[in-house]
Amino acid sequence: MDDSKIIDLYFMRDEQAITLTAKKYGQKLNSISFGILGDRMMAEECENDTYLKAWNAIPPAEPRAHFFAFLAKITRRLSISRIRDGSRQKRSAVLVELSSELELCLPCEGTVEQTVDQKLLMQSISVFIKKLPSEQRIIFVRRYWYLESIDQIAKKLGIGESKVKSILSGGRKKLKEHLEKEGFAV
Amino acid sequence: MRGDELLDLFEDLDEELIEEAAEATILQAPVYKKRRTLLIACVCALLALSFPMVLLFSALFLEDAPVTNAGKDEEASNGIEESEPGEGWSEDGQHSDNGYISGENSFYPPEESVAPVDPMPSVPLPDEQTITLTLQALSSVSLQIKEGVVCAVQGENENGKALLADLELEGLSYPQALNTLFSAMMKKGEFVSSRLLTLSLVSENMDELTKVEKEILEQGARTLEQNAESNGNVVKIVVTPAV
Repeated sequence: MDDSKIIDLYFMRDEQAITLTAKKYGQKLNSISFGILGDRMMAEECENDTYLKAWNAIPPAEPRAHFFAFLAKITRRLSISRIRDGSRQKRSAVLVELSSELELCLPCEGTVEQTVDQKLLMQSISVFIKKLPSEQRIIFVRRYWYLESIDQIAKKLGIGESKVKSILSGGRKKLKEHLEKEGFAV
Repeated sequence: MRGDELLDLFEDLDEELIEEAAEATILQAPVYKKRRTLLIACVCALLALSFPMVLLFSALFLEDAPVTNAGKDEEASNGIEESEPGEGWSEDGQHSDNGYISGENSFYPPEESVAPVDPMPSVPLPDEQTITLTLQALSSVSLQIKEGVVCAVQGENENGKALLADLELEGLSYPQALNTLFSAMMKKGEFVSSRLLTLSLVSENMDELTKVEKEILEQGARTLEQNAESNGNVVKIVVTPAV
């Protein structure tokens, strides 16, 4: 069914909307959550929580153009929260590893001004990623948004791990330069 | 910001980017395309080369492999115990030397099966010579053979005439004709009851035949014997001059 029709059902408060959402995107959302949490049961819980959050958010939210991205964002947020709750110590190490990769190219020292400018920083990162070549862009998003391991990315995209590593390294270098140009202290 | 909070900076990434990355599977970079194409081409070439080789080897080693006692010995040495006649080969305990079982209760071969037709004898028959042979059994049949090919047939008795009515032997080579006749006779049940059977191939002009021609007749008779034996029948064929 078309995303727009599913959104209409949300607006009409028809519970069929959740069934149809699960049918269309359930597997993908579960896969995102499992990639972050590494636990089948928790991933399922996060998937179900996503439907509830979506039910509560629509309306007023009306994500007709990018319904999947809207749901995926909720799933990602919920999954990361689960890790931060402390229930998944091993997975927490994965998040720290990912962040340590980014430390060299993102502003880390938290000043009040920078905290205020966080929104701007996020927008700037988004703009930077959009400008990257297709291959680099996809790998960057898979690594830092979907939080996939280098091994997983290499397998999914059919390329070598070393290539993935070098693309990510090059991307981080470019990101640092981009943010410095934009006036962020890296 | 500290620790894993840096990842939050990516949280509000543009929706298009998220969806694009979700849909991306195998990247179609030209270099990988080239490598894949090369690999597929190599595999296809290998398959194309190996196929005729397999056919050649199978033609050489499988089709012409004779059924010999050596094969039986090999089976025995591989752990398959060789049985003696009368120790469970068949209910009536009969068997032939080439390993086939015969008898009413035998498992194989079917008595109606048509024996494989051997090619013409290696020695050609003289061009102009016509040989008349009579296959004497319950159905008695005469064959006229010219240049190694049956040119005329005649039933010598009622059974022979009835047998020929269902067969088209003219134009067949001499051994083919003998095989066809023998198979037809088996189907009619002429040889079912007899284990050892003597057929006479009678040549009316035997005295006029050269040594080579006699040899050819003998060859045909031996071919028929071998084919009959491979079908579980012991047949002895004697080529004799007409009385």
